[in-house]
Amino acid sequence: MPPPLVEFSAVSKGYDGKNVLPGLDLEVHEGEFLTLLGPSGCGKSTALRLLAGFESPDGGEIRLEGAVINPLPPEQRPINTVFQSYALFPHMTVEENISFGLRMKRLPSSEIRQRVSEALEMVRLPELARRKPGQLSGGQQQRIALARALVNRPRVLLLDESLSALDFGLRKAMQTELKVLQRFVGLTFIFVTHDQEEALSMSDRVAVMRDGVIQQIGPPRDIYETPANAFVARFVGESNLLEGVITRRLDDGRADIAIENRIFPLSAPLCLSPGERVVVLLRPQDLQMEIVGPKQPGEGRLTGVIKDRTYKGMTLDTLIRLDSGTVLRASEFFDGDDAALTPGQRVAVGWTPNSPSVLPADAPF
Amino acid sequence: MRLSEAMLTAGRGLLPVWLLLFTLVPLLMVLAVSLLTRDETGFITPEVTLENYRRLFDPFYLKVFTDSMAMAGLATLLCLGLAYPFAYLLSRVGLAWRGVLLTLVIVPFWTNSLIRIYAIRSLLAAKGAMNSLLLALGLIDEPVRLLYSGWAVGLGLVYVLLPFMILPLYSSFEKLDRRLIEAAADLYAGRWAIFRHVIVPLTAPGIAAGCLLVFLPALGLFYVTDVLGGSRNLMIGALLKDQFLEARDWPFGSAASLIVIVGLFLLMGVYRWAQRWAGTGAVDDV
Amino acid sequence: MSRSGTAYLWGVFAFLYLPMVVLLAYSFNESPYGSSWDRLGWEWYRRLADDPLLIEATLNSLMVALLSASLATIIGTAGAVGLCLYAFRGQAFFHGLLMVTLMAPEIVMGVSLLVLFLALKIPLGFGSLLLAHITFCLPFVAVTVFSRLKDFDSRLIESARDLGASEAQAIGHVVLPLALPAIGAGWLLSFTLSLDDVVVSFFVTGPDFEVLPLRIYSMVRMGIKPEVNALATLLFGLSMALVILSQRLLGRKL
Repeated sequence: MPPPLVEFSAVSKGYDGKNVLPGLDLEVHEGEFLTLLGPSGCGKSTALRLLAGFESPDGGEIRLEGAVINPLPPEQRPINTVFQSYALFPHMTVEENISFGLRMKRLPSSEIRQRVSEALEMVRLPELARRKPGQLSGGQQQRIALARALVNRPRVLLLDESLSALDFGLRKAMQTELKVLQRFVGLTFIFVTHDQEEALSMSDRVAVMRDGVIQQIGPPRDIYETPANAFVARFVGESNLLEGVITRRLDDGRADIAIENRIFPLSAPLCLSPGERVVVLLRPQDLQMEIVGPKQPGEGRLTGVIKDRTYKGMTLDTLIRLDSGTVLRASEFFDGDDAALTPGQRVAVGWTPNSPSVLPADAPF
Repeated sequence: MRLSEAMLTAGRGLLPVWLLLFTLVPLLMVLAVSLLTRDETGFITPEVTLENYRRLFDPFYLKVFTDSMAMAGLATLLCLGLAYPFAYLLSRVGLAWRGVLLTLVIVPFWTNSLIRIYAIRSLLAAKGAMNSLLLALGLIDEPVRLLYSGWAVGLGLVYVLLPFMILPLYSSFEKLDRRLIEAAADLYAGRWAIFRHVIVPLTAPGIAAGCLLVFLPALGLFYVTDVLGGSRNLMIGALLKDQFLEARDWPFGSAASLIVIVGLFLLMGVYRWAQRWAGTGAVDDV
Repeated sequence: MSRSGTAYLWGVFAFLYLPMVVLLAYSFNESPYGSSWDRLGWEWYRRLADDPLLIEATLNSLMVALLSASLATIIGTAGAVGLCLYAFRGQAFFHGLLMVTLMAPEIVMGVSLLVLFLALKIPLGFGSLLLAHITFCLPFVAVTVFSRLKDFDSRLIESARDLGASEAQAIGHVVLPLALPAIGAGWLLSFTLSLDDVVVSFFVTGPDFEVLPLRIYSMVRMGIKPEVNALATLLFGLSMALVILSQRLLGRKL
């Protein structure tokens, strides 16, 4: 098996005594679209800057195709970056910006012309070649920045929050475009973002980071459906998190868990033993509601009162205040004639089988 | 409230009127006078001539112009060479210290330049600090003459005008986006290529403004040659002073001062061009 | 920063300050030609106070500086507000003219104003000097205030108008208070420029009205006088105090 294209091993970095990356281990494979996802200050941009060569690590090794690249300055790494605010050179035309890297490598000018016009075709902006960055819209600047990096045919393309400056519609369009482009050129992309939806929709694998540590890494579906801990669950997708305690292990991999003063048998990781505190994750779209009478116990389910119903276009969101005071959010597909539930009604809340995830209650918020 | 209302209404118009009357009109008058003929009694007679311009090419005056331009050009280059790395380094100092250091640059800018020239004079005088130092070090046996030379004048000009080069350069460096340098390095540019392709073009407005603020005053500061160079090094400033206040030859003086005025407009054009090149807009205070 | 970078910074500062520091030291040396350092004291400062020509020139200078700084501040502030808040015909032209006035070397201003004053038959003296000083102070005030106004949100004025303020009230209650530090800094700079100017004053003043920089000029031309050291030290101290005050006003960290 070939070595991973990019490898971080025990890479650490601190600023002013603050340890941003305590020791990062990460492997990125050829042709992969990997996203580093996390809140601001989680170390994801630092990891990217270390790989690009703008910062040097305090410890550990960064390898590219098996060779350590720690001492290489950025201009000697076959890696290019699309910056957060694009960092297009304001004094150069679009053409000059795109050809900059090739000119620095002293390629013959016929080849430079050829590749620049290909790059402009690829981002579908050949008519803008002679404009200056100040005369372009945000989306156009974004695509020029992408062309300026891709024209060099780097081994790895780094994208640092590259879509966050765009407005909603444009961002959606660029997400699709970027993904199609990555498949097309077959390059390895490492993308940094704090937008979970962007991360899930574009990536082959997502690494969720917190305080410089990768909490979970895997395909988007795994991250979403089986989050490793409460932090990942809360950060990725909308979620209801209920605190509970394991009262008894059952033989079939399930455990009895006390939630909201009731006992529910749920499948729970085997490492969790009785007495341990856990967090139960319930996705809003997995919840089902049924009207119950005031004294009805609502067997095997949670009970509460509807606080609010909000029409969201595709879905109808319901807020339910449980008897304990905890508020749950449920989300159902809107089908037009389902107006039976109104605020003030008492409901029992159940869920589709196997949907709740039981996670260790390790991470305080 | 009433007062400020009246003040604002009147004042809004006052600045343009003032600029027209005290900047534009006088410049046009200098242009007009340069085309007229000298009159022994009443300064000028309305007789149109190009004689004053022809006299600019008289070998004596031509030498004054070329000498002063060479001197001012040398001072400008020295200031640029000293100030460019200085302004860059200053922009990299931590914020806590940068304010203090910036204040230390602004103080000479606000100090009477005559006094600063005088400080240079007393430093270079026969019994001044420089000679005392050289004597004490045993490098010389008796005081040497440091004043009254082209070098003294050049040193004086650099000393007085250096802050005028530093401040616009600093303002350019402060605005220079660090990510552009990273982007260039990311695109395989080495140190020299980054300097040539990114740093110089983006600080071009500062270079142009600094050269304007050093070169033109260097042509006109008549007291520098007076105090440091004696009367032997005649400069444009001293020539203008003589023509207007002593010889009273206004038409010729006007023609000579047009050299400086044309220089002003040329350099301002270069400055605007540099701003457009660097992709930046408005003008900053200096 | 590298050690050589730090050394370079301090080297340039030494170049800028050493001559002034030497002057300051000499101003306290009472032995006449500064050759020995056996008597230190205030002798030269005392002599300044006994020089009637110098006192008169100082008072003249202070009067011109106070008046020209104040008038330039009023006209320049109003002009900057106008330039920033209203679109009018020829705006770009006036902005350019402002830049010409800002960057014109003193010799150009001195020569052209001299021609103007003689053509308009304005007698050379206090009046012509005041007009000239206002002229070269104006762009500094206007640019300082203008760059401050440009920085704040234009919606502040709209919201003041929305809340019922007239145009003048919006300017009086919102714009001017926000610009006040810049206005103060502009005044201080004007005051200093006026107090320091040699070249323009040399051209446009008359024989009956001597100002401090011209008095110093004639003292300096006559050769080194120890009193000038004392005077230079005083003026240098004043400049430093005014710069620090102005930096405080503009909210730059010191």
